[in-house]
Amino acid sequence: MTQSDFTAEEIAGIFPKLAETMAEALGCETEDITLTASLIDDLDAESIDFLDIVFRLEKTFKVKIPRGKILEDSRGSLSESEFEQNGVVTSAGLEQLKAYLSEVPAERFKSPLNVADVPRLFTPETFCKLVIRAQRDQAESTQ
Amino acid sequence: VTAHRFSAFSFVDRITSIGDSGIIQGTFRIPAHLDWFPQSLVAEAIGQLAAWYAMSHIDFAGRPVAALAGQTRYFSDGLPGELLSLEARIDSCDTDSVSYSGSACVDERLVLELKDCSGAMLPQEEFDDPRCLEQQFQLLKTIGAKESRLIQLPAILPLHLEADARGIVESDLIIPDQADFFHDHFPKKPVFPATLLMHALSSMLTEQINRSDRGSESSRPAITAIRRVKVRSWIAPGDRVRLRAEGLVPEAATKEIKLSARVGDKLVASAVAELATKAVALEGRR
Repeated sequence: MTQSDFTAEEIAGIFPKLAETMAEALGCETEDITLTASLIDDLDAESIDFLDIVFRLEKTFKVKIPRGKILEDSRGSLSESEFEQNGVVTSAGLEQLKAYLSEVPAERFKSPLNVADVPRLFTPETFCKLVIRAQRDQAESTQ
Repeated sequence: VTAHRFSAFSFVDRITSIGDSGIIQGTFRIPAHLDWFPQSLVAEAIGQLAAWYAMSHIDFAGRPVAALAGQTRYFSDGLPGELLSLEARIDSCDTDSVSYSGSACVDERLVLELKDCSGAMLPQEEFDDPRCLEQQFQLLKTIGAKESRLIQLPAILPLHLEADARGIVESDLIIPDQADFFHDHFPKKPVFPATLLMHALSSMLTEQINRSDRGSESSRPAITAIRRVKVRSWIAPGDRVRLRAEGLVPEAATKEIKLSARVGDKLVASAVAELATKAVALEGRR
């Protein structure tokens, strides 16, 4: 299994605790947190909520999640200029983004897509994957 | 640089140690000419110490802004003339954000503790002059700034307090168009400090408690901690802020009060205040 492969069991294992943590950060009910909800459009998250969510997830799952990790990782092997031009995601960047955020329904990827709008794509599942990656990194570093 | 620069809202006089381990220590002498010193400004002093660490860590290219404070716990008052020993422990710090905890003591007496604070790092150029800050940092690390630079406390008072039988208290806070503290916070972009907002919310709550509770001081609840502070948006000069506290019911000995602040319909900040009577608070500290 590569770093980018995630099983449904792994996601399901993380999700209940993650939903609880996210609901606390967003001040909503745990039931409102679904795997595919857009954090910004459906759950009214703002940029400060992302910082809060990451901070709380670190405490809940006892992992280290570098800030800006999703955006940084979503570029993959593309350089910044290959990923975006003048604040707009390039077509190569868009393909990379679709692959990285495979949990996001295809119709949510608008074209052209502003880099500032990338967080609109994030869902609770995006954060499940982020936690799983952090857990894997942690396990690797302790081996 | 104005006369109020590094005076009107700067609460670190000296940085006494700063190390790679992520611990920064410093001092602030509470000016003896003040009548009192709010606990929210003790919290501000610790936050500013952490900010010096974070800014110097990235060569003053960015600065943290108050965003999240997991827990601010009050233990005792810092009194005029006393020397606050400040410490911030940086959990993580990079170009995106800083996370820290910290404390303030007078001699061996704990005044206040901050836990799980986090702020986003924003481009310094939008707020301040990086080189000016760097010079001040060098000054704080060497000879230190002159003590008692603060002439008077910011005059921040909520107006027209309204309370109802459901335990909801509301009032308005009018942010002045001009104030000395805006020279420090921040020279290029004046922003109402989150700690002053917390001070205003606390003042509103305390006033309502004093109005409604005629018991002795020891039986009257007081704020012992502010938890889950989340600042969502800037509060600008001239803004009218609607302050709200929910849950101020007279029954329980220990209570949680939901605090919020709105500008128009926009929720700009939220927090939870923990109340306890003096007797319960002292018991909890043992």
